[in-house]
Amino acid sequence: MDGKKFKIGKADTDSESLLSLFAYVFDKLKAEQAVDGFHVQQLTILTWINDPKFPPLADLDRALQSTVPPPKHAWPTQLVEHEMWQRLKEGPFQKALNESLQSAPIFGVTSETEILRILAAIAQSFGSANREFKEWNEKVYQENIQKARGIYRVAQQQRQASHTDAIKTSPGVQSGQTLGPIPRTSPAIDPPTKSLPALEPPAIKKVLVERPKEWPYETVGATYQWIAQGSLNLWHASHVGPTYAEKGENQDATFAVKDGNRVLFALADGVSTSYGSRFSAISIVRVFCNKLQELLSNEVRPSHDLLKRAALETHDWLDTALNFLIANPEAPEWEKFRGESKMRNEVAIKFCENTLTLKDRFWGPVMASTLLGGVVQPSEDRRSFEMLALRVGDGLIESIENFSGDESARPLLAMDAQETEISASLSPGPLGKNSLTSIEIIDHRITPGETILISSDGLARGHKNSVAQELRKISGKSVNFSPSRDHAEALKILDKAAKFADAEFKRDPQVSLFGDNLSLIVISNAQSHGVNGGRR
Amino acid sequence: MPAIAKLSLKKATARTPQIVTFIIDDSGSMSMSTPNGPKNEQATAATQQLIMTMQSWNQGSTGSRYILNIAKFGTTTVPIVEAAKPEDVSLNDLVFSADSGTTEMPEALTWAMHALKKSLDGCKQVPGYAEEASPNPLVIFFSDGGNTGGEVGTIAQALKSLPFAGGAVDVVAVGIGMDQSTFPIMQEIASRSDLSVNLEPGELGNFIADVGATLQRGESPETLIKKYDS
Repeated sequence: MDGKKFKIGKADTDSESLLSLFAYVFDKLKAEQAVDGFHVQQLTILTWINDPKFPPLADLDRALQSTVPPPKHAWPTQLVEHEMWQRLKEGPFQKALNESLQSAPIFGVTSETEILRILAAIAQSFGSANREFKEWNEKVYQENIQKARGIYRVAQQQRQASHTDAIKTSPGVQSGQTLGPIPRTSPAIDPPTKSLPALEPPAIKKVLVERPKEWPYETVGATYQWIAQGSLNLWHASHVGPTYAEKGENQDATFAVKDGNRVLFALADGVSTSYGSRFSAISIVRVFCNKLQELLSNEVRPSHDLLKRAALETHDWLDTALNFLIANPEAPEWEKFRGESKMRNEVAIKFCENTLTLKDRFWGPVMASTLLGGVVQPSEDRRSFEMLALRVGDGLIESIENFSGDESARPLLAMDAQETEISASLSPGPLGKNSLTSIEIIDHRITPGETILISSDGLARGHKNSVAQELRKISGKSVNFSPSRDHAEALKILDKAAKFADAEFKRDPQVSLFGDNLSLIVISNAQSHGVNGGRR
Repeated sequence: MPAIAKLSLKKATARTPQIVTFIIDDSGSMSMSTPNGPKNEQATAATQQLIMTMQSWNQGSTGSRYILNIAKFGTTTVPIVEAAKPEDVSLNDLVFSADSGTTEMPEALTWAMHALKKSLDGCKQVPGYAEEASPNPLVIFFSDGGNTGGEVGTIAQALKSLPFAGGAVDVVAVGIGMDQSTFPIMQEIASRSDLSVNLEPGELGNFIADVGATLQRGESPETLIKKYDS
């Protein structure tokens, strides 16, 4: 990362939560007039972000409160040199670090990367010779401080209330007894050495969070749909897949919604080994479409940035949802979240917490899912449609000039059907946020007569054809989406594919055709035939 | 170009589950401290962690990708689970307290034989089970001291020779800081000499964690052993 270009709030990944926490911590330093002697350079911190070898920041905070010298192997050399270490103790850097860690749960900041970005911005404010950056940081601070103070005030009130309740119900406490201050810092302890078990990461669980207002529940009939918008037709469906694949539940989900002359769509494929992935897929398709709809409400044309922003806000929703679930282990929402999983509850909670803390890096995140989503709207020539779509993880998009003819499909977003592990997925926590840096986006004009197939990896498994070719082979001439007004058209195709795969398996158990959940979105431009809503 | 691809790798799935058996020494000497904590505490933490991880691998499947047998042994062998799915293992039962007396290896190996047979019988009840396509059953035997029981050759040979279609039972024998004089018995127990290793006592927790990584990647046990066989 180039420190000369670092500006907090400029990156898409700098959430409102992060900016609020930055404003709050910066405000505390200003109030205490702790503006001199920060000592740590922003570049040191920015380099740190990309280096995973350092122990958790909470360990650094505790070590700075200790009287024992720091272990030499820990943290950047610039920090642990004897003189520097002494300067940092009780100085502005230590105050900023401690305040950031203590307040992160209140603001919903869950990753060390975010806290390091905050510290880098503060270092920049105190240490940079360039006024532009100082002024920029001051502007970000001014824009966010009121909101930040409000968030902190509410959290403090909630905390006081729960503390009061606990004291009231505690035996031995008399009515009218005054309460002590809520402790803000943990007692000083010796710094960690390599032989000691890792210290607890920042306390980011059990946050007092409310459930997000938007809380998707699957409804009957929502697994398939047909939408027509002018000459544009869209069918979508998801299916549990072939019986032989023994998928206990359908972790794929599709969704689409019409908004004026636009159609927004999304397909998500829950990561099979991820706890809560069915709930995640169902949620992601709806939340993504809703966020995108909101973001597009005042825009004439969609843009890459808006699409990325919708994905980021979907990630933020997942963060909030997970924090709510962790804080409320008895909430009825757990039933849908758990799905068919047989994982023991105490283990599930550990996986949920680990998604936010990454304490155990062998464990994957909960609620992980791929996403293919975007928007289609009429182009200026009024005969074509502009499609803008993004992908996080795998899945594919194919273009077919004439779906019922012999033309082969052209991949718009391809995938390796032999690869069963994905390198990116949309999920809560830092890993999910990192995945958003590898979003792929395509612009495509859907011309008259053209059909677009959007599919999860299931339809690509076990054969070497394009999905369009394989579906045509299985379904024969009966597959022709354009004239159909049947809401279940896509579902029927998937059902036929699943039955075909089961028959192949019965013939040869070594065959693994379509061995996964299946999902499909078909977008067709019937414009060349001159009749809105399909051919006759 | 064939339209249908065939399975080429032996991967643990609901139809081709892998049977994994852990037999862990719980004799008094396991309480010896190491830079990473007492050996029995390392065993407790690492196996609990591994089982939690394996529970996550069964998400989204009606069956189980792994079938587990776990026992601790000392003067007697105490089965913890037999032919169980990871989600059926209670973490509270996975506690090694180093209070099981001496090191009676033959009885422990006899139990492993029984548990493995029981697991194979259970797998054969799974609809569509394909033994020849399943990964080799893996037995991992841990001990930190010399055998206080009778000879182990006969039962060890029987365990290694248990028929398994399309493969063989892989028995890995892991010494935990054993004396060089007592370690040869581990080579006798292992399926092959390159499947036995004598760990530094502080490495036990990491080794068990690496068993998980090896299972997940579908790697051979030799790959795991090479990492520790210096």
